[in-house]
Amino acid sequence: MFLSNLERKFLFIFLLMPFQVQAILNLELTQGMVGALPIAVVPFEGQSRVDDGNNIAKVVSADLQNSGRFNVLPVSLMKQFPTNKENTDFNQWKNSSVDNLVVGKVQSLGQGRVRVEFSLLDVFKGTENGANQNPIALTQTWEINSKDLRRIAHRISDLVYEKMIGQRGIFSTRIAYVTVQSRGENKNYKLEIADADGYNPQPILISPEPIMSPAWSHRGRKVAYVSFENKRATIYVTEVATGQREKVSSYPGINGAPAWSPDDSKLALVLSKSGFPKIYILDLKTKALQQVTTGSSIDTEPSWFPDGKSLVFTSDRSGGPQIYRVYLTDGRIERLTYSGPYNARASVTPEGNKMIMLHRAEEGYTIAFADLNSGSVQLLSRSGRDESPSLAPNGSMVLFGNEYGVLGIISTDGRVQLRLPAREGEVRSPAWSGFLS
Amino acid sequence: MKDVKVYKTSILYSALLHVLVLNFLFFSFNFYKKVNYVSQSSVMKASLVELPKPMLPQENTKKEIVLSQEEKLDVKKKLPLVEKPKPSKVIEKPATEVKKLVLEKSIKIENKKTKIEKPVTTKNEIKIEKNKIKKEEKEIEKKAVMMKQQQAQKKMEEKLWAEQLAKEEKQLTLTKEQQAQGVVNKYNALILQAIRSRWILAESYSPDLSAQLLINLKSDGTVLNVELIKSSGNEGFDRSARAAVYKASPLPVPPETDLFNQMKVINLVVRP
Repeated sequence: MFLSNLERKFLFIFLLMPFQVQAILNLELTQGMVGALPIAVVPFEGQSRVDDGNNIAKVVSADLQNSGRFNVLPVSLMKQFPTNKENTDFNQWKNSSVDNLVVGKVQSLGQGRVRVEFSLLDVFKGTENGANQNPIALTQTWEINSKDLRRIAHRISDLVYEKMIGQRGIFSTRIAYVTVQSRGENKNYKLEIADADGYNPQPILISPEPIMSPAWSHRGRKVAYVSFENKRATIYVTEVATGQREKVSSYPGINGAPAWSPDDSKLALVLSKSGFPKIYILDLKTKALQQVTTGSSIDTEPSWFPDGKSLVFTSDRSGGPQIYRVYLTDGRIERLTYSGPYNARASVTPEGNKMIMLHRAEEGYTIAFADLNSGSVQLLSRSGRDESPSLAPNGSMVLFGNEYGVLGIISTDGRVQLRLPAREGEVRSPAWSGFLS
Repeated sequence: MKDVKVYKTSILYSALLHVLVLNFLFFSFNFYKKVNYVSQSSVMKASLVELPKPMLPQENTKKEIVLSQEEKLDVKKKLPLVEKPKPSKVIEKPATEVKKLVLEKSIKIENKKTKIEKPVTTKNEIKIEKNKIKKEEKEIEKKAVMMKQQQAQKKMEEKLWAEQLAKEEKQLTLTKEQQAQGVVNKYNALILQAIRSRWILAESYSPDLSAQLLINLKSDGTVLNVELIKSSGNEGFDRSARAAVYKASPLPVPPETDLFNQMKVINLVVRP
């Protein structure tokens, strides 16, 4: 041994001393301002400023602004257009009261391929006052087909959102909905899927008979829906990539409201084969059917808790429609809502502590946010004519329809509400997908 | 290797000693002040105790308040002068008397010892001499005891005086500390305000979140770096707090070095 025990102890104290000496001031900070983060999305070099749907800066700006969490600086107020940290004058951006900067460029590689470079910069770290730390918060390069520029733009929005807000972004997710066109006496129903911002719509099914209740599988590969194309309610599952579809439920009477289990192996659905609409669970592999609720009440609109061990559903068992929870292990049922005469179509947040639902208030039918622990109900929309709320996979936004057939998105903190681009005819039954990757 | 073994202990202890001295310096330990203080109190005359209690602490406090607005550092230099009575020349006398007596005693004893050492002819003479010596020794002893008592009394009085002085000193440093604490508190509030006003929460984060940051400041308040000691588990929340600290740079800090030293490292706990 080089040092004796005692000497080692002394050495330890000797090493420790400078740290003991340092006086540290302890402070506690609470109550920041609730607000939107000031950010600038600089037009990417190599792209025209025209909004042709593939303009990365325009797509990212819209994504971030529409999330309600960001305050995006208009391009007209920008004094410089950097593409990376080297050609960025951080002090000027600081003077524009911008905290973060999205910069990048698009280079053509020929044969329809492009290279996309992107960086997220911290303005306060780039200025002299910011101790000259590395201002790059994120940086990434892709080589893609030029037709995927919009997809990459949403990917950039997701990365920025996750870095700055601390939860996964939903800009690369998709939605499904049903459009209804009336031609005189005849109606034309169309099941469509689209990007989360309403762009890039693709039809899945066109039918002269009603289509209802589309539901995305959590990994976004399949859509389950109810179609009356055979003059009676039938539940189908369509694989989005191939268009292949499978009939999963066509019992006599109601076949409705399919809901995917968290692992996408089962569907919760409503069947009235026993005489009353009841909740069942269908194993998609074994086709085994399990009845979850019994009795003479109307039970409908099942939705899974994130742990897959219980469901919420709407039931009139105590009079008007209210939300109940059923535990799959022992069949125990508890009532969740007591506020107001009408609560329906609930879905639980990823954390499992809150749910969104359709709630009748004085104004009429509104989207509401209920705290499962406290039971408190907070109204999100105020139009009084809303319907079919569907929760985004990160729990931050709700997609919903209204009685005029227009889709809207509202943030669960109520700060942002916007409309999706209009479609021909009325739009019904919107459904938000899970995370696609 | 052997050489190292020989020296390593002494090197280690010298390093330790250095660190100790550096620590004293770091805390601006005033060696001179302490030394003066000790010498003065030990020579202090007893009668001074009966003097009416000085109003010094209060007066000084007032002065200090006035001074603090101008120059804090001067207070330190001025205060000892006002506070401590100068040792008078009278005090030196008893000390010298004691010395004289002790000196006489030792001389006498020496004399007697030499006498004893002389060859003595008769036993009587020796006895007489012995008695004389004894008597003298007793007297000397008596005197010595008296001196001791006097000294003890003096020491007691000195001790009392020292205690009082220490008390006053303590009170003074306390008020000084309290004032310094007041200034520190003021800057704490300013720092928190500066950060809070730049802290944007874009998401309704769970109130259970809590992050811990260690902030290092330059003497002008510039944020040197912000270290994330404990993450809240939510990157966005952690970022929002760090960004707020950087954006608040330079933070408001006191110009006085000793006060700044108390806040150059800030341990900041953040909750939504």
